[in-house]
Amino acid sequence: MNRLMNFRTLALFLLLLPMLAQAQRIVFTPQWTPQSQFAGYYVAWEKGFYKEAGLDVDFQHPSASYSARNRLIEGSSDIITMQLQEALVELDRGVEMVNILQTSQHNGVCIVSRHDNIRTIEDLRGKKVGVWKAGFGDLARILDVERNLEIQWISFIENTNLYISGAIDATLAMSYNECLQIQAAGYEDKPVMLLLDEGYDYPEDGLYVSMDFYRRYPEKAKAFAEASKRGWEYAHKNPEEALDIVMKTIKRENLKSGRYHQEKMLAEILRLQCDTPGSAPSFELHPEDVKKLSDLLLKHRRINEPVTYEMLKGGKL
Amino acid sequence: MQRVHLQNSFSARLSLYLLLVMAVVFFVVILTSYQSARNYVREEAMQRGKAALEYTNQEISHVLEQVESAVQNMAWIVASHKEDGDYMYELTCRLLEANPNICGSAVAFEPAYFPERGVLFSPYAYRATDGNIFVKQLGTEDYEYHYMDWYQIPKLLNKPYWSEPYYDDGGGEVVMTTYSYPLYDETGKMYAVFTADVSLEWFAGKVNAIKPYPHSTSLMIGRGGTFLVHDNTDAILCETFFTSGLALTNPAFKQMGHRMVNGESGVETFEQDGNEFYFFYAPVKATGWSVAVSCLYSEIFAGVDSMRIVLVCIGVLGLLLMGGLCYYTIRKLTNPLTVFAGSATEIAHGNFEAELPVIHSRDEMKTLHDSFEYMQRSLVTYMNDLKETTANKERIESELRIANDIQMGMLPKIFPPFPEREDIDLYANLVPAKEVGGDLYDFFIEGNKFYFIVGDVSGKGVPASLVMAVTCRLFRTVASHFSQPAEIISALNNTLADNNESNMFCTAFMGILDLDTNVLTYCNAGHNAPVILSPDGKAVYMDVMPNLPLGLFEGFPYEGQEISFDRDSYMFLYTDGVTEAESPSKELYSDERLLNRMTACSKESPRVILEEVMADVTLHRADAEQSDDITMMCFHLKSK
Repeated sequence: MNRLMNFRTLALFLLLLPMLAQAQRIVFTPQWTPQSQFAGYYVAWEKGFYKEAGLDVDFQHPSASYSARNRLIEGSSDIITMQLQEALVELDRGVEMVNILQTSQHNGVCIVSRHDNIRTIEDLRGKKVGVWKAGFGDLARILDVERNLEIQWISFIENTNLYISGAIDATLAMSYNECLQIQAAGYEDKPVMLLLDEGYDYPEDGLYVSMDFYRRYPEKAKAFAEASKRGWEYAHKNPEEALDIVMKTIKRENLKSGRYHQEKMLAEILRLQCDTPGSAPSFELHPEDVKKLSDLLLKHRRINEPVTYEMLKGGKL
Repeated sequence: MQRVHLQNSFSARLSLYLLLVMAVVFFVVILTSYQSARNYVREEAMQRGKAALEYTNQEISHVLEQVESAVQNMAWIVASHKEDGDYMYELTCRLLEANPNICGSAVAFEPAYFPERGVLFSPYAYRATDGNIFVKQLGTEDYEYHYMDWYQIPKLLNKPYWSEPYYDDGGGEVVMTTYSYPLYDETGKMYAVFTADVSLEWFAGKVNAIKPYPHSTSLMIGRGGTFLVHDNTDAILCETFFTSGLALTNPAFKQMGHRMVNGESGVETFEQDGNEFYFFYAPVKATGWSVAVSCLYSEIFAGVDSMRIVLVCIGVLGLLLMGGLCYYTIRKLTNPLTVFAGSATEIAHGNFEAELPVIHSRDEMKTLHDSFEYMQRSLVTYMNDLKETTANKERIESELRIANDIQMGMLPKIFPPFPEREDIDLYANLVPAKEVGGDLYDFFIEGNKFYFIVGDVSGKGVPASLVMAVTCRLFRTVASHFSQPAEIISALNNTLADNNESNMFCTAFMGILDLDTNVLTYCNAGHNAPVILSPDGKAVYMDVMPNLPLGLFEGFPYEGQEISFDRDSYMFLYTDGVTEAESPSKELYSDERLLNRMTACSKESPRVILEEVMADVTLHRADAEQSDDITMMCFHLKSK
């Protein structure tokens, strides 16, 4: 009888094991396909930092029709990366999520001119300027309104060929991605205008976890943030190895991207993570940055109510 | 036979010189021909590289033009059925059926052109991997074609556009490029883009087939320098020309990349990892791509370089053979010279009968042989003459030595001559210029009278010595018969003048000093006036009548003179060999210098005075040869 009971207990345990295992797994989705922009997370996974924290992390990358944001809202991803400005808008719209790590400290958006005679923001008046269809260009649009530039915004998914063909006069670009691609296409001498030089220096990428997950597994969310931070810190100290890991991930996902581009991207991403040039990254979200950005978005009616630091950190909803 | 070192060998040296000249000529020829061949090969490589690129680009352009024409020719049908969306499936299928180069075609309409079909409507026909043609509606939530380059760029540019190649993961799974032809309605508003996809595989095959040389590598880049064709497949669509390979380290190579994407063509030279190569590039004008091929120098010039090595080897071998042949031939030709040299050495050692080499030729060597033979004969004759002459000379020299002994024997040679007398001291010396001379001196004391004579016979050598001998003997004979010097001189004159057919003469100064009265009587016969060194140290020439030398005119009335010769005075007699002694600059010793010398020697003994004067004359003459006999006599009448 006892043996029968033991057998039943074991069978029940085996039945519940997959469910338990599933409960342990964290689905993580960065904003886009593997590239150096997310190097710290791939490093944390490859170096076993997540495992050491007792986490089973599953990387699931987004597609054009199923973005990281949608995955988080629909619950197919637990943790995603997102820009701060987007996060404020989503919080305002009622999406429940919490910032558990702030990686970027500076704005990487820039405007690359196609023509040598467009050298300042004022020169963009009435010009055709490329902007991401997927967002990220909101601060530039606000700048357009604030300076009354009447820019003709041309939405794009990929902007390099659009730029090369001369169909647009300038394009928005990330200093760590599209800007490098344009320069690699032989346009390295073209004027580049940084939004942060124009007074729009706000932090970008951070780690966001769904409120549901955060409430259920606060320790895991914290452990994920800590392990990810370790991954980034390792990347800062060992950029070559981090690059190797990124390239390995790209290859594993059957994608095509050159090492040269990823190397430049990693260097720029790491630079943007430092508060000041040469300082160690804090990985902290600064309340004053949140306040400033919230005010700007409120002013331009991107949000209806102020979004606070505490709200981002899950303290007050 | 004596061994001859190579550097001392005429044949070796001549061979070496010839070899050097030939080597220089050879290397100039090799270098010139190599440069010419290299230039020719370079030109040929240029032509080959450019032609290969041009041919490939023409093939590519031909296909592109075919696609453009096919799309443009069908565009009017699309326009005439633009309200029939479903018909577009059929049209695009027809385009693919008629054009095997086209692997896909779409008529992509503007957003919501057919409101009932939604925002995205793009009938699309494509060729599957099995070759069958399928259709589908291209626009989906995951493929918003309005934001694709092939749609957006021609729309913005308002003109047809060849897209940059991209990887098609929607159907073909290949790298393709799309020709987009914008369609406009009657109002000029664009309502759709008519496209044709072409796989890059065929182009890649053509580009990869550009092989001007077996190991040439080719590539194709897009407008932004992206590699479209590359031997490293990982670089395709991943790397650009500007961010990989040589462009990262060589700015010139990078600059060339800009020229390539700007549609220029050309050829440039670069070096990578120690390998130089030509880089040819030319544009595909329709798409803005650039095709390039690199050709290694080592491959282009392999033939010329191997030819150079063969030529150098042949040349070096030829030079060695030629050098050996030169050395052998010259040595054979000049071998008699060695024998001649041996013969000359033997002749130099006195063997005038030394054997000469046998010369059969009639060239310069024969002339040299004849000259040697003549020299041998001449030397024999000359040596015989020389022997005879030498024997004669030795005999004459021997006779002259005897004559000198006899002549010197006639002169008083023992000094002091009067050791028993304390009132007079005397010293005399005669240095002949040749073996025998014409000067003379003599003296003796008879009856407390001191007789003395100094003379100089005209001329030199044996004739003068004979006259001197006669004069000396006559003075001794005649002096004892007369009491006055003029009488003695006259007697000497008459005897010498008698039968003097050779017209030789003799100057003489003769005096008699009475040692009791200190009266000096004297007679001069054309001789130099003696010097009197008075007790106060003053030297003066004696006042003498010149008269004629002895032997010229028989019966010439010689006049004597008389003075009182002070005690403690010196008389210095000499011949013109003293005052006319010449320095190397032909300057005479002079009477004045003699007086000065005498003055400096006052109070000295006659021997010292003579030696001082002689030393002074020798100093004056320096290296000059003694031209005349030198005779000096000095006596000192001492105080009582």
